[in-house]
Amino acid sequence: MKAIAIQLLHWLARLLLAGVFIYAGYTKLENPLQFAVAVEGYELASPNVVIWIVKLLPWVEIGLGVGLLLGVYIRYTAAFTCGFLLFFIGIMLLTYLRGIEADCGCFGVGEKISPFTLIRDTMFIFPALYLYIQPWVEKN
Amino acid sequence: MDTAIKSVVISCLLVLLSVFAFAETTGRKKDRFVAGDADAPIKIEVFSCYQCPPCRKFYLNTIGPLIRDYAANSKIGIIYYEFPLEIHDYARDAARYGEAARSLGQNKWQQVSEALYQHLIEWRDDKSKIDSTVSEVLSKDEMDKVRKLMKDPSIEQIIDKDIAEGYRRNIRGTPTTFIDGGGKNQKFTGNLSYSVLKNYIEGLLQ
Repeated sequence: MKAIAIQLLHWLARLLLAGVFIYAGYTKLENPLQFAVAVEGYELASPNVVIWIVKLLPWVEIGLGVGLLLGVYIRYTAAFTCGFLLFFIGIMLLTYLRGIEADCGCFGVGEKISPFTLIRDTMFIFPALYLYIQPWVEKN
Repeated sequence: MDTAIKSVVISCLLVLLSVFAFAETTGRKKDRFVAGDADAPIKIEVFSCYQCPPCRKFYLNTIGPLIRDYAANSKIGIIYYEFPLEIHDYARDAARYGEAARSLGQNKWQQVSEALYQHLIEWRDDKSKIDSTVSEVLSKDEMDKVRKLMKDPSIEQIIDKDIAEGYRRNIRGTPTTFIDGGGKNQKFTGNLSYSVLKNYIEGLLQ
């Protein structure tokens, strides 16, 4: 019974995160200029760096999503996902605390950084964390 | 038989109406270019409000240099639509000046728009300073024409049509920009730096 629950949680976590990252990457690829507006809104990167972020980040997200979906090196992918999420949540929090009204840029257009977006994105760390600690959960 | 004739007549009328609507829209768009023209490979359409600070930043830091570097070489054509926001007290007054200046030619519109955006801080609390700001960049004759044109009801109609066009295209904020070129259509709301937009345009031109 415990083994089934663990496997169910494993698949739920993978599918949820894969869906979130593939969708997030797709919205950025679909409208790169709107994503560029959001990245510039953080007031942290020079235009040249913004151009590279706009070109690379959507593919990193899609790659991560596909990796999670296929279960490629799942513990490493999960650890990377945790770090990735922590990094961007940190940047969002910093921007919010600086009082800058920037678009989150998480999933497309017109979503300002707010306590809601910060909490929502933080919630995504839990399934990633679960995938990382799953072998430990199975042993105990 | 009657029904068949009626159907044919109604279909013909609908086709004629569509042709007129298309001709009106196309003709109207041709008049709306503030830099470059319809033959340019890339068309940029901006919905903007003279009193909105991000619109000011976007015009002065991005659109101005784009006009200088690309429109002058016929690589891009730029259309500006008046989209005065109701929350700004004098946005519509400034739009009247902008619209009147447009009828004097592209250069005059650019000069007047640059002056209005440049001196926004001075006129945003004092309507009378809009006129003095505009008069600084136009000759006395041109200023007289602008003041006369502003009394023409057609200016109000143009602004109303621009606003209606904005709502039709689902504008949720200013500035909102549409870029059509290289087989791609992009829409974005907000301010974008010149370097980033230039990089995108260069990609389309290749």
